[in-house]
Amino acid sequence: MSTGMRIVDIIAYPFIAFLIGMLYMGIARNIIGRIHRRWGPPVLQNLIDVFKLYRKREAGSHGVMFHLGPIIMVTGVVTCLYFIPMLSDGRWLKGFSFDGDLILVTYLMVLGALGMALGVGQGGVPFGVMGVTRGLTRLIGLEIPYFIAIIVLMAHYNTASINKIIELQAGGLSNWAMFKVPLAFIASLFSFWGMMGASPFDIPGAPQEVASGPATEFGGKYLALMMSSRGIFGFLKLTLWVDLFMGGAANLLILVGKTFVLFVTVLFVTSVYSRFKVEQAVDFMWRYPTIIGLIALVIEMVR
Amino acid sequence: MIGPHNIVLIPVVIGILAYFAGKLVRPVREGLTLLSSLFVCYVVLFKAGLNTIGIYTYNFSLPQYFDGFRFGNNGFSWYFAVIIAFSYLFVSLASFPLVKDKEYHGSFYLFFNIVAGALLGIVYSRDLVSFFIFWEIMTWSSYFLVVMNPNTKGKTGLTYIVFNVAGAYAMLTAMLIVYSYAGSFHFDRVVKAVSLMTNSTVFFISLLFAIGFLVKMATMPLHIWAPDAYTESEDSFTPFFSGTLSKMGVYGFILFFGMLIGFVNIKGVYEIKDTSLIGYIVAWLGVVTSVFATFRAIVQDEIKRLLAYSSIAQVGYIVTAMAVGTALGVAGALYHALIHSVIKLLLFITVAGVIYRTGKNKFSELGGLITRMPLSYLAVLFGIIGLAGMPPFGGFASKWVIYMSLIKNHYYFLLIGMIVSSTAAFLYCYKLIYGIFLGHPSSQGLMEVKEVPGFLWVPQIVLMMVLMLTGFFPGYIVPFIETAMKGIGFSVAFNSTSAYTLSAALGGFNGFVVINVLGAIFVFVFVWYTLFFPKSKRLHRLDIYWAAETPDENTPLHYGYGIGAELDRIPWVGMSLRTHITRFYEKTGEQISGIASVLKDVVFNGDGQIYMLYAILTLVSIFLLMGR
Repeated sequence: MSTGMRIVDIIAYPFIAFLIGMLYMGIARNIIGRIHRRWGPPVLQNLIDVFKLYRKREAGSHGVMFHLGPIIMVTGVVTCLYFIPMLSDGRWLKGFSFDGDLILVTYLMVLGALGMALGVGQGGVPFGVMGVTRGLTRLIGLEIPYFIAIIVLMAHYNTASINKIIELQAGGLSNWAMFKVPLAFIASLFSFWGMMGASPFDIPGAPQEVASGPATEFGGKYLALMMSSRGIFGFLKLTLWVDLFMGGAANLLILVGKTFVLFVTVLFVTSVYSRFKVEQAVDFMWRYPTIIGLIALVIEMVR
Repeated sequence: MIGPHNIVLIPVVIGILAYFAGKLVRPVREGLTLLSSLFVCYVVLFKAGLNTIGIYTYNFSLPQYFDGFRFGNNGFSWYFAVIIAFSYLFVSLASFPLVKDKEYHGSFYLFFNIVAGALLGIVYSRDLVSFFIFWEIMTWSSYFLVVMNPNTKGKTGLTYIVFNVAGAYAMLTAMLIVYSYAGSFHFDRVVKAVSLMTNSTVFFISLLFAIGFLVKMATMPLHIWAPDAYTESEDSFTPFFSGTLSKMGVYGFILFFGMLIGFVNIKGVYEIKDTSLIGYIVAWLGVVTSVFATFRAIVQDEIKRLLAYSSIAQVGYIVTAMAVGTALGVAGALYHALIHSVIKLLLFITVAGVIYRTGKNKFSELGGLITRMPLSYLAVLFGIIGLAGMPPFGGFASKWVIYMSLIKNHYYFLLIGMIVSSTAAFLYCYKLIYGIFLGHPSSQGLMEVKEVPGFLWVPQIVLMMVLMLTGFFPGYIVPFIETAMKGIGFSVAFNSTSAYTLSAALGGFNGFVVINVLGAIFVFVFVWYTLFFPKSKRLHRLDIYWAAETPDENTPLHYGYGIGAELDRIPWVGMSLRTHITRFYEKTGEQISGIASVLKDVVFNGDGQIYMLYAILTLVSIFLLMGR
């Protein structure tokens, strides 16, 4: 690959994630609408919203950190994205995934949240801080089954490199990690739903309440940036799970197909369940998914 | 000629000199301390270099059964000596403005210099006697620094000294047992003697040594001195206390278990999963410590107490990593010891500055200082990124090594415990920066405070640079760690050869790429956002959405400082927060004093005839024993 093509490849990376991620969010509103027996907005609605917000002339700022918060958020999210390979075959759309490993990606996923939390902190709304605190507390719950699952994966494939994990899953459906280590996949799925903000675990954003959650004070261009990074982040997590458990994707079409299936599970969960309090969410995560994960780990250690 | 054998004397002599000379001209104390710390840095870096492995023996025409003091240097000592020397320098700089007007000015510099000297003595000593002597000097002089502060409660100092002296005597017992086998205190002869000991003796002395070092590292259940002592000690000494002094436990543990006793030797005794029984138990103690201490840290309102618990938790990771005793584990422990020293120096120095400027030491009394103290804000930001172990800076690298070492040798359950603590650490990290710098000022006066004194900027900036450079070049320290490991007889643990990458066991990452990608995206978005969009409207801090009400200057808006209140409602965490090991010690204490009072009534009942009987019985038993 020539240098020029490499640059195009790198630049295209976040934009592909952004477009697909925003489209998924639009589709999600449609599907949930159908479940609720209504039509829902157009599929492009989320994209339209973001572009509208980018064009807003006015935005209030509470200071330097408030200004930097959303920027750090998108920086963290896009950086993390670069270390997750989108495609497994060929040389395209691999980002910098050869320079990182699974643990790096796991920690990078939190970096964006930190940036936002700092911005929210200077924003000065106590409700925003409440959302951040709930988010961080929920994270204690979510990370445990997730980490157990990736420990099982790393133990099973004896590598921490995402590219190698994908390689080792090659050769048909039965080689996918979700069938090789099914219990770990199930455990990680709970964390995945939580990280995607699906309904039993959506307390930090608290979508139905008027004024709580981290985004409270942000408007205009800041909200636009936050929404974009949310779209990218959603697609990032889908890609990560596809890479880790569903054998990666040879081309973009397969990637879209696999991520979409995974995404639909999130929608089904989110439209059925009502919200946990934060302590209930942590307690739940530490009970059933963790136990499932630990069983998977013991099986893996015995094997 | 100054070298490892007498560098110890410099800070000690300077300390005594500064105390008396300072009675005439006060600033002499600062000057002498600065000179001494600079000189120590110079000697440690250039005059006692990495490759000069020398042994110096003192033999003050002592009796024959005692074969002299020995001092020497190798990569392992060098690694810790560098940490000590630079913390000595940074803490001296930070203490100039902070201690200037305190009434214990003289005694602070006296004991602080002596502590620094004692630490150097510990790492350079090559026999058990001088190791123990300097260990005791360290314990006692740091005791005075803890109780020096008039706000220190009497119980704090007492708990500190009782635990540490008890640990030291456990160690002394073990040393004497070793001597009875080896006939010498020198390390090289000890190593030979230990390899000939029976398994149960090895197990017993390992246990005693472990107790001594675990006390210093504040590992559960021997930690209860630490939160109070870290919180209430003099503000400018706490960075040294938490950042450097606690690492002596790490040094001692690796020295004794890696080199003197040898992980191989204890392994032979009882073994679980390729590690010794003692190592395995200690590793679990480390994990339990870090989990409990992390949750305890989150609910604190005092800044220094939060950092104290966070220190206990972070050292818990080090304990786990080195106790499993693999080459990679010990390497991770060494790496994290360095990074944790840097972070804790940075955070405690900054917090000391904040307390000095505001006079307040609680999150509930601070807030909104970001506009008044931008440099300190940045320092704490770097510190918490390191503390949370997030990627761009060195904190991630050291944690990554520890994780890899646990995965490589299949210690999955230890790792999961560590993850619980490591994830919960995000909460106290956020609380630390939010409570002090973000949100709203909780009183009017806070908006007039100045940035921390200029002397603190030097350590702040240098330490931030260190964190950043370890982020850029996570592999740069690897050769030093490998040399240090060779000094204690471990073979190479890493795969990486370049400074940019860190690679070991199952994976690797390129820190240089990570931080550059991050920086490039940040700069791009920042420029795009700041230049190509209409300028944002600057809002007043009260101009916020607040549930359809209008807050005014007196509305308490800083209640976000109460982060962690909801932890109590998570069943298992709540239970852990309500359980205190202190109660166990209190109950034990009550029982012992009960037994003692009964004994007193029976044995020492004030009857002269009974005492006479004791005397006769003693005489008789002496005669019987002599006759044998």
